[in-house]
Amino acid sequence: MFALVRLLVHLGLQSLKAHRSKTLIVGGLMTFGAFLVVVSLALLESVERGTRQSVVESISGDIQIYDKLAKDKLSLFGGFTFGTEELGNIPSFNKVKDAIAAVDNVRAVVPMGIATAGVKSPGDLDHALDDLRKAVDVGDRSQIHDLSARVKSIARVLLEQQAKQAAITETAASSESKVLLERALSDELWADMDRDPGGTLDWLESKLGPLGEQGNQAFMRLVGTDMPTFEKVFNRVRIVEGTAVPPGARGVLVGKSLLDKRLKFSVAMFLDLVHNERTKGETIATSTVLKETLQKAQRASPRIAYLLPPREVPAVKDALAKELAQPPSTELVPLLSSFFQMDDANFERRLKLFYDVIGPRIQLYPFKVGDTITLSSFTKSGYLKSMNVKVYGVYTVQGLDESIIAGALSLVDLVTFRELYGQRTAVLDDELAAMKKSAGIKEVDRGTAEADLFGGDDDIAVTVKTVEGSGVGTGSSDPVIEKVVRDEQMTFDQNTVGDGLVLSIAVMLKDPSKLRATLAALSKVCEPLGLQAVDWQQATGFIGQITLVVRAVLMTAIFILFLVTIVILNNSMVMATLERVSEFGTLRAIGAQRGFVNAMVVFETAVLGFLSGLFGAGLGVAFVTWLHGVGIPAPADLLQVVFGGPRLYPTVEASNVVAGLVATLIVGILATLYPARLATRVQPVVAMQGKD
Amino acid sequence: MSAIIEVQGVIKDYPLGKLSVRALHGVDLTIARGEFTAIAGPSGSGKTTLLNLIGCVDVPTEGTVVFDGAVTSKLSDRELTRLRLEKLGFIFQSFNLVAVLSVFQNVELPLLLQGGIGNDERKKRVVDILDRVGIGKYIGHRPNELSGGQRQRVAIARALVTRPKLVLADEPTANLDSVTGGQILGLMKELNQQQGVTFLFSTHDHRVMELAGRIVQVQDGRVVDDGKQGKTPTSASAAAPTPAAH
Repeated sequence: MFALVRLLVHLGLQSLKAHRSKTLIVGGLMTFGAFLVVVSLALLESVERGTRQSVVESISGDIQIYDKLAKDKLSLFGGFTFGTEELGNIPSFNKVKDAIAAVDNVRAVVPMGIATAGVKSPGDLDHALDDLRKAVDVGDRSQIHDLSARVKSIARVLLEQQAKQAAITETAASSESKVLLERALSDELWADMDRDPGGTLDWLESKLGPLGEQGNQAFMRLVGTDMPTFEKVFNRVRIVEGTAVPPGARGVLVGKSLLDKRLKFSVAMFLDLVHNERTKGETIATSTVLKETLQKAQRASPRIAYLLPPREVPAVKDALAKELAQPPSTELVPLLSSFFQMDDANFERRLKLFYDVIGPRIQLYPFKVGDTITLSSFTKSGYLKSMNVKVYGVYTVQGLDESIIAGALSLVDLVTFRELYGQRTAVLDDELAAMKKSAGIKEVDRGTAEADLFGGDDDIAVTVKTVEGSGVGTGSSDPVIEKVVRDEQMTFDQNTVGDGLVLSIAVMLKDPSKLRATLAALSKVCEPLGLQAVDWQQATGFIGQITLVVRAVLMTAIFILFLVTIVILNNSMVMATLERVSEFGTLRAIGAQRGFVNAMVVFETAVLGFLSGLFGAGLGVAFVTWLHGVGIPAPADLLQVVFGGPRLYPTVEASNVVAGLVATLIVGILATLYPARLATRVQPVVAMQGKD
Repeated sequence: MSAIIEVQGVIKDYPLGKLSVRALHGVDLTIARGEFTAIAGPSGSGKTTLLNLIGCVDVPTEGTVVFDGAVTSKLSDRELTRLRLEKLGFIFQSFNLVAVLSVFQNVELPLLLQGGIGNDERKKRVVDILDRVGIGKYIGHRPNELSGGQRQRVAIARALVTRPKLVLADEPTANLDSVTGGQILGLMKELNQQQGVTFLFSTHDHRVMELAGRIVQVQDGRVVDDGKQGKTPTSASAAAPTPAAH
């Protein structure tokens, strides 16, 4: 038997040698195919591992479980739809938690909920007035002085803008606001400030305030979760500033890249961008994008002038004047304007100067760690709901410090999430009852509604009742709206956090390689609970599915290549078989069975497939090894997440090589089926007719 | 001497388009063991058809061919193949060696197909038979490095290495010059006489017939004469046109 196989291999090799050009073409195609299979599988799997690292260990877990009746698909990083998806909900985390945790291979179970919330940062004028109000409340004289100066400088900038606008259009409104601005700049007003700070401040807030520019509203995608559990389970999440949210506290952890790339003071953000591109090898001289970015920074630079506390202005002016070699007496705004005329020669020096001198003196971010911010969100029922939450810290995802996608999510405690989501709580119900009572709302039965509202035995007579508490008739021109006193609790009972609603549950596995099996087991458990389980690729929306799409595209390409190879190989094998009819006839005549002839033909391509597969796979391994050495850079932010870091260092697995070999062997054998069948049909009689 | 081949009332039809062409019109023939028989006849007389039937590469339309006690028309393709491998040796007009195999490998091939023969035994038998046909020193050569006569010697070795009961030779000298043809025939005769191998060959070469112990004359699909040398038909009678039996 062994000798026979050896003979078949020998026959195959010799025949390949005899048809050299055919062998080279087909072998080349198969080599390329094997190479492609090995390289693409190695890259895909490396990318998948990278993406997995990026998302599984930072937010998604291996598996996500959510409501089976959800209208939209779960997509942790945001999907293709805008706004918040309709994901249904899981009414009580604790009720399903144990059943999920009991499934084999489950390491940890983390409750989650997604909400989108806006965080408002006040305009510069509002900000200054707020600070001024605080200073007035505590009676800090020097603060009041500084802040008054800031308000004045903002008013001056506004007046200048107004003058420019007036040159273009003349409107009644502008002349009215001009009067207001001029008054804000007048000495008499600020003299009043010393005498009657409260009254003056009221005037400033109500009259000057509306003239200031609107503040920014930034949107944050919040993941509500049980913070202590989350921090234990997701170990790629690193707190780089501040602390973790303590158990039982309301609080938010903000992604560092969200802060740096979305919320930061615009001038600083523009400079960061240019710096980043320059480290990648771009130059200001050659890139119009960088030039434009710097122009934007220059245009926004006057803001620095009024963000700077007045007592800090001289120090900044000195530093800038020194850098620009101008007399220190120059005004700040023109100094700034010249300062931001940057080129490749002075950029790094001026960037350092910006962060050393200006950065520490202005607030670069809309809020600091330790601040309480107001998150506003539209609840499920459509009401705008606002919550005050303390910013405990800033986090990054390890290896993805620069990625905006990885840091786009902010983490918030579950209780805050539930309120933003619009879940009714006891506190809210009390508040609602109080509001109803104060407004004099009465429950009206549907059946008697008409009679209650419009009917009655009385003669038609309209009685106008003055609603208590409204300002009508009290002589004041403005109605006074009573504030509903909100008793917001900044803490909650950590032990009861699992009792309530969540949107999804992250499941972390002990052995991630058994994902499929565990997913199946979990699906079985989830079905009767009205839940569904999806793997991390599905749960992370387009990010998780990038690899799936790329895989599909690559596999299609490989499939087509192999199809072409099969057609060419089949064709040339048919030709070769027809040339060898006499040989096959002879073999059949001297006693070779059809099976032997079949094996002869199949072995020939199997040998070719094996050798070119081995060669191609070898090339593939060499190529991937080289890539592993140099790393593939991730030029775009999205690719960083997909690669699991700034560079992808792909590795090749034994299974990739086996796949490459098997693929070429299968192609070889498939291509041979028909010619082999032809060969076995050759009758031994033809040997007798051999008159070649 | 018992018969190795018994051909009884054999008719063979070949389809030719929509028509059917009769190549053999009822042939009876018996070949005994140890005979050295020539089947003679002009082209298209049906001698190749007869040889195909005896060689078990084809079965008759009617009548029976009994090879070593087995009725060939009752055997499957597989069984016929096995029978050819075990009991028959073939020598072809154009040698039909496998071009990519060496002399040794060509001769070894039937033994490998048979299987069940140890490496040493197989090698010994191949070397012995190659020595016997006088080609021992070309053992590692490729067929295309050999002359026509040398190739036919290799083919004879291949036919004999399995120790067949019958060796069929289809015009074995047709592609050889007369001297070489004579040598090849001499070798076959020698093997017949010394080792008792039964030979049956088709030919229209007179020198071949001179060496044959028995000459079967076939014409128009019938055996017209069966006897000793000297009863060769005239060339005129051989010219009768008949549809070629392929």
